[in-house]
Amino acid sequence: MSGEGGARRKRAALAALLGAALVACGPSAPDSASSTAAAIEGQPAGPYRMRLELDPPQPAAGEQTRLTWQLTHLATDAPVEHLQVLHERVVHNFIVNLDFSSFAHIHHEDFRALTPEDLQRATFTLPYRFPRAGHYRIVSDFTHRDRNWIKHFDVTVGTPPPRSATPPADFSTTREVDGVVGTLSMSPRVPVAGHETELVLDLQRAGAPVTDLALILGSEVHVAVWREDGQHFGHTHSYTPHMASMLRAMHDKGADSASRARMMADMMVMMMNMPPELVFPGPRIPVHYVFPEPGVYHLFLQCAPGGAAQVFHFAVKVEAFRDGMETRIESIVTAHGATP
Amino acid sequence: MMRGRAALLGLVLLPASVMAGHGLLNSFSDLQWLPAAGRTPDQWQYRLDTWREQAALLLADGADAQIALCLDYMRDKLADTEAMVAKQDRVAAAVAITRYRAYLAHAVTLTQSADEAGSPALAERLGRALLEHQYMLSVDFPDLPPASRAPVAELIDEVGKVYTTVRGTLPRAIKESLFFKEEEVRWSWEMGKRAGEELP
Repeated sequence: MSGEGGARRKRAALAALLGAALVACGPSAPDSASSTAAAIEGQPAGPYRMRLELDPPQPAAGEQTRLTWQLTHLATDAPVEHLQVLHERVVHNFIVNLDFSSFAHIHHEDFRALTPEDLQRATFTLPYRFPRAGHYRIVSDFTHRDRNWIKHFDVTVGTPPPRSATPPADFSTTREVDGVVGTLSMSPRVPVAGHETELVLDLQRAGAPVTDLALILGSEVHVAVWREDGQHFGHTHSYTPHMASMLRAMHDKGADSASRARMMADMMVMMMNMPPELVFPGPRIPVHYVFPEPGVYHLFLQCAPGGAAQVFHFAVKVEAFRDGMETRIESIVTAHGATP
Repeated sequence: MMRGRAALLGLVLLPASVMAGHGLLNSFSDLQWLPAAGRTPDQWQYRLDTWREQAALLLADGADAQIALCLDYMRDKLADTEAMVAKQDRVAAAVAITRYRAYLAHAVTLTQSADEAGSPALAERLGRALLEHQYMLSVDFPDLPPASRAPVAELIDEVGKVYTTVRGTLPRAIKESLFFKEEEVRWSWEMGKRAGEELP
């Protein structure tokens, strides 16, 4: 015991001496990516740099603010060319008040067509009115070289109310928007972090099932997901029988991992150019999602019953896995080629 | 065989709405990317940095603190590796990779020598980090010079093998929760290799 203690003391003394001798050299200082005074730099870092400029730089609630993004390669600062169009837009922007009282899914092309110069400069702009004072998070989602990326920006508008004024999450599973009642169900009933969850939005109008859903930006539904601390943003769409086939292949223990990776990569490349297809006219729209971590998540489901875009907002609680928890999904979707 | 073909056909028919990093392939959306390279192995002070790191590891109290340091240093070494590969300095890149391997080996030893209660948590931490390392290297790979990037490809495969070993020690529930991350890493590396072949 004392021998071990002595050795430990000797080791600590040696390390301290060495450490002290090296302190003078100082740690190496990495070049930090810096924002210009007027621009907010998107996070997380990565191979791309996205900057957002606001005009005016301090937005006021209810006043028009111009938002302008520029996307460059981190290594060269050159604009990112050949961005891919996904769901009919080059950059999808999601703006949420972090008290989750407002949500927008908005694009440059909603206001004017992108020009070749815009694309060459990888610069996108749009006007927006932040509805009220608060802390906002803007997430911009783009696709380059068949990979999807997100960058987020935090913007404070006016003098936000204290956090304590934020109402607690409402876990009701039914919402009514402009006469359409949306009901959310989940399988498994309690979502488990790291495991798939099937979310089904069931739409009714005047007590009758909605069957006239229209595509909105190439999908029956766009789902934006945030954990209540603003982290773990995700963006997903309807879960189709083709998607179910894909998941089945991913879980196929008979296929080796390299074959699965090649199949996934093949599929990714091909699907980029496929036309949109209305698979679910209503009343039910299934979505699959993997919540990465436990916590309370806010879900904004944007769909178009009768062609009119509407957003249904739900909150769900996601649990960490514990022994005995149910993770199996009772899916309403049957994979192509599978027996129902 | 038939089942494999049917699966592939299913994948080919997928609409462009579902997987493009959306929904199920979003495991790394909040990933803290590699830092910018600091002092690199082509600078004489790099050796001093190594000594400082080793001193800090010696001083670190307990396996938790030590593994945190190892994981930090491993990220730094990956950044140094990429910087040296980009500079086409093979010797310096090899030095950075050697340092990465040393911290990886130390981290693996920590997970193996921890007591029964602490070991799964350490192994999970290391496993998650190894998935992130493979993912980031696979994304950056196509932009590295073809003439000097082979060691990065070898390192991705090597880290994958160590991950498989670490994974074997994880409780079933943790293994299952890492399924989508593992698939995304495989997909990402496949995409990285393909992009690497296409880019000049």
